[in-house]
Amino acid sequence: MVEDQKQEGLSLLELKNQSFLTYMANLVYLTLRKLKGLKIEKDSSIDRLVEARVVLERIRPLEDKLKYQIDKHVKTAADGVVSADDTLRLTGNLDNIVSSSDDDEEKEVTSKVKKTDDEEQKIYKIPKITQAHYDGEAKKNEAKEKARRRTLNSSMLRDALLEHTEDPEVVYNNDVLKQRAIKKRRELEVFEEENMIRKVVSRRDKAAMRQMTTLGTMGSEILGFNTMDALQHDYDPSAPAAKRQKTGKSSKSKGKGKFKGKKGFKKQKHRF
Amino acid sequence: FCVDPKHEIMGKESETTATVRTRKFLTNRLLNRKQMVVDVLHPDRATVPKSEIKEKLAKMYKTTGDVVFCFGFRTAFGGGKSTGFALIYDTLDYAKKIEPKYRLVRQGLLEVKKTARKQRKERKNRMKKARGTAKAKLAAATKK
Repeated sequence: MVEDQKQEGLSLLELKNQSFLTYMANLVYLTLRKLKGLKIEKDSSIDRLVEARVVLERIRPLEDKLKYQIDKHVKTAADGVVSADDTLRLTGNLDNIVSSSDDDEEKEVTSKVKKTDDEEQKIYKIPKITQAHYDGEAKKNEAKEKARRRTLNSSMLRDALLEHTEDPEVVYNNDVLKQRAIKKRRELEVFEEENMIRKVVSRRDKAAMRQMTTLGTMGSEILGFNTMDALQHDYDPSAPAAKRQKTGKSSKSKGKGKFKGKKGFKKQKHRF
Repeated sequence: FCVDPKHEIMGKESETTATVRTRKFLTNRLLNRKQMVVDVLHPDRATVPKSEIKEKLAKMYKTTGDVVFCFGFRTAFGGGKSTGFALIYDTLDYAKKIEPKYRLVRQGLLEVKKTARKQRKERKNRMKKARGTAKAKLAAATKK
């Protein structure tokens, strides 16, 4: 065992070498035993193998972190000479890192409009280095998908599609809304007991909690009516829902045929 | 701390008994008190008044009744069980320092003097007519 008398502890690479050696030695021993036809059951060398393996696996992430340095030193040792523009020697120059606000200040001076220092400090300039993530498109698609899924999974459509499918009918026993209400109530209970305080539940929440425990919650789910708008291709969830289409005849032209609209009304007045 | 489920059977005044159990017992050294969640089981009976629960808890924890403060009792739907909280202070001095005023008033340890509502409103209206130092003078004069 090589021991470094100058340093304290064991260097990582040294440990790696030694554990590799023990691993190889024990492996060879076991292989020889097997070749001779002897059993290797409950042999102590297996324990040593396992130990060496564990050590090696633990070393690996540490070694990954040091990989750059190790490669650099190995290359230097191999070549003997360090070249000036070696790619491994390139590191960041800390002096070159300039803050974004300094850049903007330079531009301010060159521009025509000159602001005072006070104003410059007050105005907050957003640094233009990082890009902000824009997910507007994804959100719109999400809403559309959600609406589509909601109509497809509604009980109305499910009943309609039931007769056309060959899958066996599955009956679930858990009521999602009820479970949610139960979970919410339990959460509240735990909070109250933990902090020795009674939380004020708003009237709406109280009504909701009471409603969930009654049997009348199924009504709206079964008897509700869903429009098929969400299944169309050009469905836009943000647009207001289309009102009922008006028929050709408007209410103004109802009644006696002669006097229609404004003129008709005027004429009627003169009749008195 | 392990939970100590103590319970006592009451029987003197009421027709049926009621059981007081404590849960989530915690000794709060910072506020010099013991705090717990109280479960009262009272089948065939209306919600047990706080004074009774106070006495029972005092007996359970071997203190006097005046350092026991119970509050927040809610009866479960259908009756028979109520849950609330209780605090038991080390001494009455600590209780007076730490407990909020309304609970001390409930216990009878503190008295809040309040002038009649009508008088307060009249005083406010009188002060509205004055301005500046005259207002301050009026305030001092009419204050009890």
